[in-house]
Amino acid sequence: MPDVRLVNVTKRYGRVIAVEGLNLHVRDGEYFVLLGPSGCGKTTTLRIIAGLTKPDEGRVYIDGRDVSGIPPEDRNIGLVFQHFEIFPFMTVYENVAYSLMIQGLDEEEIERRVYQALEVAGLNEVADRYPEELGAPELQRCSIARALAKGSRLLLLDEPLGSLDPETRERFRFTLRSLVKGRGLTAIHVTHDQEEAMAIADRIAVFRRGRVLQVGTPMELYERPASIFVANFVGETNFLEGVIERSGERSLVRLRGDLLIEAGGSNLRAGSRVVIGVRRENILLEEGKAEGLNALPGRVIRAAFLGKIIRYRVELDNGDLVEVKQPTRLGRFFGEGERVYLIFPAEKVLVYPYPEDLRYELALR
Amino acid sequence: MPEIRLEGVTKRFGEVVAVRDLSLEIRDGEYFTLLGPIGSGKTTTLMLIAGLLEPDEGEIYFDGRPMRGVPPEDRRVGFVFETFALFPHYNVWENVCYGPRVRGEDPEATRKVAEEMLEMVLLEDRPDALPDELSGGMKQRVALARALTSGARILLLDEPLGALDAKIRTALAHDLRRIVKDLGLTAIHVTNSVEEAMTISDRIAVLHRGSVEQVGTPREVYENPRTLFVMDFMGDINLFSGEVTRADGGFTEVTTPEGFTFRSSRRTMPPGSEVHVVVRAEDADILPRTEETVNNLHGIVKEKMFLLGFMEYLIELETKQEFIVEVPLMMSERIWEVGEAVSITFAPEKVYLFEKEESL
Repeated sequence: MPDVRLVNVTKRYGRVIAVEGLNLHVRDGEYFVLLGPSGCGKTTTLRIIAGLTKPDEGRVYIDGRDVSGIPPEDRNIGLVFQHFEIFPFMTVYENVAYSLMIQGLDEEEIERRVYQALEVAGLNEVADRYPEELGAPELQRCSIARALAKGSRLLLLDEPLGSLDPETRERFRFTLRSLVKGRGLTAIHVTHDQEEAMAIADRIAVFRRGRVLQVGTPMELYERPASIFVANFVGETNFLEGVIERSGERSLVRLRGDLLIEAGGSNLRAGSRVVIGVRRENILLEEGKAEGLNALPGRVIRAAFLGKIIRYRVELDNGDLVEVKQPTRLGRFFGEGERVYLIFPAEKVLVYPYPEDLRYELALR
Repeated sequence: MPEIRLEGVTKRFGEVVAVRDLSLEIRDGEYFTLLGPIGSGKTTTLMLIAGLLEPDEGEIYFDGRPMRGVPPEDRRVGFVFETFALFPHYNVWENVCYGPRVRGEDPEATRKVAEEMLEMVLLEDRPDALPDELSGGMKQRVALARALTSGARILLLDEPLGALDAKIRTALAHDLRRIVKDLGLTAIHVTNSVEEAMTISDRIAVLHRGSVEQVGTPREVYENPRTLFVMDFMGDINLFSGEVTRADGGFTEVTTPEGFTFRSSRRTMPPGSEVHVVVRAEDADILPRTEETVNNLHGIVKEKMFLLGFMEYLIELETKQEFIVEVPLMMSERIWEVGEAVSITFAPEKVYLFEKEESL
């Protein structure tokens, strides 16, 4: 049921623009992630949807209804934050029941809803415990259970996994997603962690400086990042400088040291200064140079066997460094010092205009 | 020079045995990692080496010299912790020079070493910065420089990357290793992150309940896990139990109560043995539904998740058990959708067998 639409939303704090001219449509039943570095406007956006922050311009629609004048408590949303906001003097049960009691529901109804929420959140065995006896994952489950018990169909989550240790965090992604999917809820989840976003989301909006740069499925953002910022922020990408030699469906780029590489489509003029981007996972190491392949010569300067992948750092003959993450299954292990050819499938090589504003961030010259 | 040997070391805290009859040999100049879950005894082991704790039994040797009774400050070890433990009101330079200064060492010599170490950790242009003005990665590099200016030959690192973001973590892991190697130090690094241990180490000791389960290079530990615990700890696995029903021609065949048949070429075990069968997520492939029954399991795609460079699938088998498969995107001809009927397949050399008495 709940779909969320933001139309031309702008929010300023004094002269600082937090979000600007924002348009977004989160579909019913979708697990949607707002992703970006700190200060990009993602949390402000979430707070605007929640009604905790009032936009200066624009409208927010939940289920097609303009919620501009509606206070947060009447928007029927569940909020989950990084810090759990659990009452320390109440048991898990009481924490979850609290808002229902305030609503004045009868006891039987409260009990039914609370136990159901606790069960879904996997907390029925600790219902009578106090927060101090529980670990971070249980506390976060407790705030989720509270949101569920209220009957909210729309869940807003602000860095909900931020307080968990890395391993628990990874497991909890699954839990969170299947909770939302299993109950047909709509979730909007804010994070700065691209790996988390990729693993959990149906679709992701990438934010930068108060604007949405791209909206897409994890796969779309990964395979076709619309800008060099997205290519850098989502996934791990190598950037090499060059000049367009020929453009079109397939372009030809001359890298430093006169190395030629065939790349994906580009309509930039010949002679344009560009940066090519290649995912670390989209490069293969080979012993020899096969005909007709995009193969650049280099030398392995660091090889680390990580199990399912091998991580290499290769110095190309032109001095550029390239990082590679090769699935172990896809070839033999190359040791440090070995001469190799790096194979770049042309369709995986992205071409972007030289980004003056990201020079330092991308360590370009 | 510094080579470290632990012989039969046991450490108890009241009733709890934190480290149990532990023996280890860490070679001179080695980057060595103690890897294990919380409570496996890895931090206790590190503190024993540092001299912050004394073993109840056993002995620790540095270069063949027993360390019992030698206080931490005389062991020439440098410490780096997860939390940076910098003095907040001292700038980078003052933090780095602190140790030699309170020991009253020659200021000129201290200055030279401190400059060298700051250069080593790539912070030579920030000597005046206060800790608060630095990122987490930078703070940890200051902590490292400080540990190094004290003239330590042995570096002990307790979850040094634990508080950092994923991207910074990898970069700093490379820096740490480079610095240790360039200075010819011996490093012992404690972590619960497999990826970190694999990235940084020459050799790894996997710890479990205060004992060493296995010692080896990252590759040895991954390719030939000695125990079910090590195999499980190193990554995503699929676990079954069954009985060996045939053993010939270098193959061991196992049948499970659910009626699955596994064939392994890794190890020969006599018919009748009760075993655990393990297949790693990344060693399995997905095919359209087949009729095969050996090393083929049939199910429905229940979940798919996009990981960087891999697709992870959760397949629900006909028995309702779940099986995780990770397929590299570079070799995926197609993406499987939720609800599709598929078969999972894996090669006999990817089927690991462990004796049944071992359990997780």
